[in-house]
Amino acid sequence: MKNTRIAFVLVFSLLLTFGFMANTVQAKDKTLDIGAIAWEESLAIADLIQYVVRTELGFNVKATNPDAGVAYEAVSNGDLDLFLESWQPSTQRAYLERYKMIDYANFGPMYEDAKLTWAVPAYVPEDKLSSVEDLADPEVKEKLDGKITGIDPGAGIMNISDEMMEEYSALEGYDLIESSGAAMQAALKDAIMHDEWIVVTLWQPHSAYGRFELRNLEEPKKMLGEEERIHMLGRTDFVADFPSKVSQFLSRFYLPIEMVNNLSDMYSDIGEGTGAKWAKDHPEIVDYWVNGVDALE
Amino acid sequence: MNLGEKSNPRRQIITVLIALTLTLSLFFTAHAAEPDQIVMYVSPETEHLSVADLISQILETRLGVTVTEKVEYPNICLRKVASGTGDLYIGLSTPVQRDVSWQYSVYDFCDLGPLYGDVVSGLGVPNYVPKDKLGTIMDLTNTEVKERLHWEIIGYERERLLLEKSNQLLDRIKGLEGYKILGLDEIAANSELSRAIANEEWIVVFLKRPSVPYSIYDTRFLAELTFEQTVHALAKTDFMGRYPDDVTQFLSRMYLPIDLVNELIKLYDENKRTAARKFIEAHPDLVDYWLEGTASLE
Repeated sequence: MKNTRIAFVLVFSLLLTFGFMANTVQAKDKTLDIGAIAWEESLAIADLIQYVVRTELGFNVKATNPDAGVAYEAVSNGDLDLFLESWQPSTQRAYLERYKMIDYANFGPMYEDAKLTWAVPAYVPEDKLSSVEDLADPEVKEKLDGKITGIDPGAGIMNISDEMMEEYSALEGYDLIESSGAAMQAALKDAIMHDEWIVVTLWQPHSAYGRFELRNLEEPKKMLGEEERIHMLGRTDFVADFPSKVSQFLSRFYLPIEMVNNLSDMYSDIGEGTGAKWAKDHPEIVDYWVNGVDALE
Repeated sequence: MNLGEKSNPRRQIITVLIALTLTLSLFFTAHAAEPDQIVMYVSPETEHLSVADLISQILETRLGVTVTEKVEYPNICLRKVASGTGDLYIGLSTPVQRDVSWQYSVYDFCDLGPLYGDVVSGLGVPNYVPKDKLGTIMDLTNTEVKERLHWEIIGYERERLLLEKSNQLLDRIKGLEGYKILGLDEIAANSELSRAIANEEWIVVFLKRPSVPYSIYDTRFLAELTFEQTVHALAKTDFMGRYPDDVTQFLSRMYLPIDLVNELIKLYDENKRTAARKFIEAHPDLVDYWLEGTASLE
């Protein structure tokens, strides 16, 4: 009887040991599937997160580029581990209202102060042009040649800008020029090279903020919306399934908007490999994200 | 005024206008004052109260925001913040339980993210109990161990999930039948543990990390029985648009390793009024990072 009991305890202990070993192996072999929308800033952040998870935490990472609707659904049903671009509270409101808190592990904002805007080069005097209302000034209108430089027709910001042209009497006589994201950036660069005045439709974060010194115009009627915050959403059992060091890194990951602009600028230049370069340029920040309070002592 | 007198329409209009002006100015005064004040809800566990006090202390002394703390159960805290009556809720454990929050959408809150993680519950023992005698759940099947424990496991009646998991464990593992799980209230369970430790007696208890017993006594888990959870700060949905960046960014950056949560709980257990201040003095670099962000790192 005693032998039977000892055998039972031994077998159970072995099973437990193998169970834990298998878990460890499984956790190490587990691939983190991340979804990043194919926007410059999102791809840049995805590249940085992939670099840190792979090289500092030792996990495999796979990135895909679903659109927002697919990503919300995939994370909520467990097909995707992490979605990087949950814009809250306005831009993706339809999805936020459709899904429940219980559907996600919310890692909180990874940056704030994101917004749609109209911007000018910082050398345009602030006392002459700081608000959309200042565009009514004939001198300002002349300096701008009566033009607001936009991007692709049909883009969300262009639809709102069209409505602004109707709504603001200060914009009477102005033309909203349709172009493309690349053409808008080329026009901005050209104006800055010649110290000329220009107003462009823009959104933050954007590589243009990393490349040039720009100032956003005040928009008193708030037609372009309020500031947004960008969250990372994990599948609901993320914390239980991945080791603590992964969820702790994601919980600590937070960037000021200026750094997101710089990261996007870097990504527009070099693409893949941005994360590695940025991490080497900012070792103290990466150290804190990975090691937490130990990095501060 | 003579009640029988016919009222003057002009005077009535002036009175209405004055009343309207006063109401509007009162409304705008209250509205303008709001970003300096936060109504913070917190659930009544010591670990949540101690973290909430730390947040209040930093908001008040470093960011000039007045905080009003209100202690309520999680369901009420969620309802208050979702409706906008409360600004902030400290203490939501995730993954959330269906009965607590199933009806709320992601849009209803601004989830500021985890304040700390590594939250687990299970069965634990004081560390003086020899590990070679009682190191795993299987050791509980040993007759000598059973006798030293008087066939008892000290549990909390409020920890329903842990009670359920422990009972499942007793049913599942051969040799554990006969143990009795005592469902005590938290104070009685803690005093049982305290008495056993004072006398160096063997005891198996429900153990939560973080908690007061885990912070003040030298204990270890025999088995972790619940999934790991994280504890979040949850704000009303328009919180970031209403409060200054330094407030929202502080709350977004704030994250504590579990060891420091235990340290804070220990300080709070010793003296509620000085805990937050002592913690801030002991960890200036961490608090600087929460307040200043990456600028404090480089």
